[in-house]
Amino acid sequence: MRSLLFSLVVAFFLTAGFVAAGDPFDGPMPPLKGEAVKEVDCEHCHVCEQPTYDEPCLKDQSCPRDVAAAKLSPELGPDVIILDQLEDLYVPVRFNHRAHATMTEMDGGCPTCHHFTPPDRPHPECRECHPGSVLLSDIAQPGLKGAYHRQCLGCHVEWDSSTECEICHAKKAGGALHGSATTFTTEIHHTPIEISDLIVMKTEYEEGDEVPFHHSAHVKLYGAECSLCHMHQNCSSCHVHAEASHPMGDPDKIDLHDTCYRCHDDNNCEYCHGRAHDDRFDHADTGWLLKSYHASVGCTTCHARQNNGLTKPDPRCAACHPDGWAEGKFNHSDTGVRLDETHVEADCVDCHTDGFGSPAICSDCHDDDRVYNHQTGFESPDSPESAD
Amino acid sequence: MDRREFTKLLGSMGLALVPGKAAASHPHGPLADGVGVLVDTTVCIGCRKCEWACNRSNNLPEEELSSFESKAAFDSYRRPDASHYTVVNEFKPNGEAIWAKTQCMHCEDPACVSACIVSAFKKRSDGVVAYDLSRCLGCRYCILACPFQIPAYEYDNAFTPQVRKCTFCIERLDEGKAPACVSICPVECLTYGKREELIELAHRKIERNPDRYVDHVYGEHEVGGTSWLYLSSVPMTELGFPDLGTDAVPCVTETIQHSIFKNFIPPIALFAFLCQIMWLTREHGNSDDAEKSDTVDAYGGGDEGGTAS
Amino acid sequence: MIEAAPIRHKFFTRGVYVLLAIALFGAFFAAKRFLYGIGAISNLNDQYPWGIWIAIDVASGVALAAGGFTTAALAHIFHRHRYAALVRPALLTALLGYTFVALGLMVDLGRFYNIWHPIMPSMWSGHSVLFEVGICVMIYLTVLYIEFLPIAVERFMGRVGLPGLLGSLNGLIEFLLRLFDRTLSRVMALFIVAGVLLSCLHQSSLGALMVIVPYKMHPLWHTPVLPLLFLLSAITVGFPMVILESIWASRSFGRKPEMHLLSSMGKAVSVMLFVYFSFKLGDMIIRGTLPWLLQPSLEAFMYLLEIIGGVVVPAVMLMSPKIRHSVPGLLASALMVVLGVVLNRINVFITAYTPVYATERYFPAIGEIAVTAGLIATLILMYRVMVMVFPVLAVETEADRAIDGRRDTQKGPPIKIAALAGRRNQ
Repeated sequence: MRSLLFSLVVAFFLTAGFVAAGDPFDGPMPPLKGEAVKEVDCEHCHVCEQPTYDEPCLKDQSCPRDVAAAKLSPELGPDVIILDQLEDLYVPVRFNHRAHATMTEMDGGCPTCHHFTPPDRPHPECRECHPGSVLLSDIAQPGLKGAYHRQCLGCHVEWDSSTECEICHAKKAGGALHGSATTFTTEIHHTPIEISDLIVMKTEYEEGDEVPFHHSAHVKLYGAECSLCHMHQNCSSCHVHAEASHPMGDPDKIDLHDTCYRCHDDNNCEYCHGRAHDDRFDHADTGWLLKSYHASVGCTTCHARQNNGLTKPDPRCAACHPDGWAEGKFNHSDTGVRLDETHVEADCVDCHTDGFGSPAICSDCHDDDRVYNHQTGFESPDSPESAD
Repeated sequence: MDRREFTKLLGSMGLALVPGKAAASHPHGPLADGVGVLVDTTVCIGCRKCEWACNRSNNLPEEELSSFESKAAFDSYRRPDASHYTVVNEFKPNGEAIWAKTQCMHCEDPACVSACIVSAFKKRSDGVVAYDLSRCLGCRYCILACPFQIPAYEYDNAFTPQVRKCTFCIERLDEGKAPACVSICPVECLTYGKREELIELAHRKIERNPDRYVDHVYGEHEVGGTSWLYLSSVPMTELGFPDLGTDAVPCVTETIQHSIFKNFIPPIALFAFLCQIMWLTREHGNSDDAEKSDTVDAYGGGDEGGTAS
Repeated sequence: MIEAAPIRHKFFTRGVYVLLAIALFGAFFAAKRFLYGIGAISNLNDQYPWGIWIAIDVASGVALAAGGFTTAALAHIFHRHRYAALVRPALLTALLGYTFVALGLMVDLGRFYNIWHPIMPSMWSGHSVLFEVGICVMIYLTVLYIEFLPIAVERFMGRVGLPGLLGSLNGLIEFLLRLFDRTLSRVMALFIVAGVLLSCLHQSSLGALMVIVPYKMHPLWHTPVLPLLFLLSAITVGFPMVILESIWASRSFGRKPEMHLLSSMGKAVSVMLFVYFSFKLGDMIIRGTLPWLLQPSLEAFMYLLEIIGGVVVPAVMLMSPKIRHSVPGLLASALMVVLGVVLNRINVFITAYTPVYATERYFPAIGEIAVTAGLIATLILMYRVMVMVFPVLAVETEADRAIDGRRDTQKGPPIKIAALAGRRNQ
């Protein structure tokens, strides 16, 4: 049965035309001997000769690892998984999937563990590929036990240098099951990570030795994911080695220019250095004052990420609100135009004749050529002075 | 004549004894169907489960699992002994802990097999170096000969001591199972399989992770090759393994041995040569030595005379 | 005519009591070994599986017993008949030496009761150097006993008179003795040659034993020509052993040593020592191991002690006729050669052996020393018994007697060997 499953999976990969990338340890490789080698070669996905975990050098975004990273979020996975396929000396493991999935967002995301996800399907379970025991016919493929333990210990041994089995599963005493799977605690949650509002970094730059960094604004307002800056950090960076290292990696090797340049590659030195501490990015400077709800959402709610920048959004309301608002929920004042008694009574399409979200056409009712501008209010082409 | 003859004799024996330049080709060598185990020390977590499984599988003492969970065992360097066929040691060559399991390497051309006086050690066709207690007379030459210093002896057993070493779990192998240590390893840092495929796998691993491994598969060529192979992030000599060349250890002795006893021609020739000297020098010896005697008895103290003068 | 006779001498002297005490002390430890195991009385362990029981009891024992085959070869193959008087004592030394190698092995072997296993064709192990040594020693020991048979025949033929119940066997034994007497002398030549051949084979193979541990031996001693060096040294030590044993036996029994024979042997020994030395030196030059001698180490010291004290100095001493012809001079130089060879065997098997994981260097435990010393003491006592029972030592002539002042020795009736052979010739 298991081998049938395995062959199905292999067949799937073959038809899909994908081969998995490497894994953090030495996970699945195409079989040493067999048809798979003939039909799908490494170059199908990998550009370089020796892909590694950190640099898989995948050809395009559609290869498994990135698919998984792009499509799935921790919330989609299960909260707890009970690993009981190999129960022997120890009771089954209750694996807190949610906590791990959330934390791994800091680094590689789901593919840190789910290293072999084909496109257009959920992550396969470990046992789909890893047989219960190593097959003599394919010694390169770790068995299920090895796959589990390497996956877990790969990180755990790093954080606490401990290989105590009881960290994950209680030992059965005297062959009988003491402490069943259900009583073993799984309610592990990571304590909330405190993010400071402002970090002022001292530099040796003469024209301005201070660089204010609005940490929470970057995360909450601009929607930067942790791993955008804290790249290639893992659990051990904060846990075991917290004293010796830095959230940004090896203190001796950190060059924050690299980190900031990931987004601010167009800015000059003075953009950061010597900037006033309270001089934060103001969306009004772009000509679109954020009010009410819009002020509370992150950038990426409206702007899509493109390379390291953001796209220009479609300014029409319907681009984001295609279905409009429920009856009585829309406050027109939020748009900057407080409707007077006359206009409140009008239907939306009386003014916005080209559809909800398009500019109001005043001339249908009013015979002068006035138009309405968000910033300046109604104005007539004849009279340049504003009328707000 | 005697001195000259004697020198000649020495010369001829010297020819027979000195092996013709280094070692000639050795008859053994890697087996086609040999199995082995690849140990990836970069994966090992030092849990010592293999020690426990080994002791349990081989009916050795200390069967309690909890006694193997103590990390205090890593405080000192341990060697396999009569009641432990395998031990795991901890090394910190660069600060980070590396664990390495030690057991019989099951050489392709084992010194113990070559050394044993009664063929109590045999290299099976599947690569296992097996011990036959019923033959053993306890000379311990195998222990002396082993380049990895593996076989251990029961020195405190007065009448029925035996040589102890990793059995490769022959019974399990014959049942189609992997050795006990391989089966229990939680991280599967031990891979059991055909030796040839293991070597191929080992080189692939190195190729895929050049930063992770030293580019050397320990045991691929050491002393003519071993069934157990090791991958590591530092040279194996830093993990307590001896620095060995690629020549099989028994090469030189077996070459000497085989040239001395080639079809028994050299010993028979020497025998004939000695008889010839004995015959040729008979008259000469008499006249040279004893004037009175007229007969030569083959055995000393016979008829030849005059020695007690 | 060589006349040999059992020595008539008081058996118990002060020296004998000392030897007995040493033997008993060794027996105590040997008993302990058979009750509690090898580990109980020795410092042997998994790093040092072989200790002085192999280096001294076996390796040195076999080397020092070489006098048997070298003297036999000299007297009977090269027909230097004037040395025939030394053949029997040398034969007895070899016989006892090899017997005690076997006895020593009984203590050292873990399963001593399986010592016969190498004889079984099903267990033959043609690639094993130790197998060759074992088989050769077994056959050679048998050959030595066969070579000794005529002495037993000579002693007991016509005089078999076992008391009591055993008396019924008298006829059978008498028949066997006469049978041996008729047949042995015809084939003895073959046995003597076989003895020399076997000796050459296993004396060299003893050296080959340590060739298998290239990674665990000090380069000063590890060489593929170790077998040849062992053979050369065994041949070299054969005569000094005869000299030593002859002088000591003469002193002990108040006889006069056969100095004229012994000093000419000494001259040959000198030549052989130089041959041996040149081989050793040549080997070192070829392998480039001379620099090891310059390092201040135990190994270098032991090597120099072995070579200078055991080879060079006695070789030079024996070149001098004055030293060669004086009893103390000859004795001293022969003793140096013997000790040099013993030291060589100890060096090869113990000093040079550096196991990979040893935490401390091996040094024999008191139990090991006691057993070895006990065996040597027993060996000497057995020699004394044998020469008093069997006609081994040559009868002193009137001339000898005249020279020798000490007259406490009484000889039994001389047995004329010629008489036995003479019957055949008639």
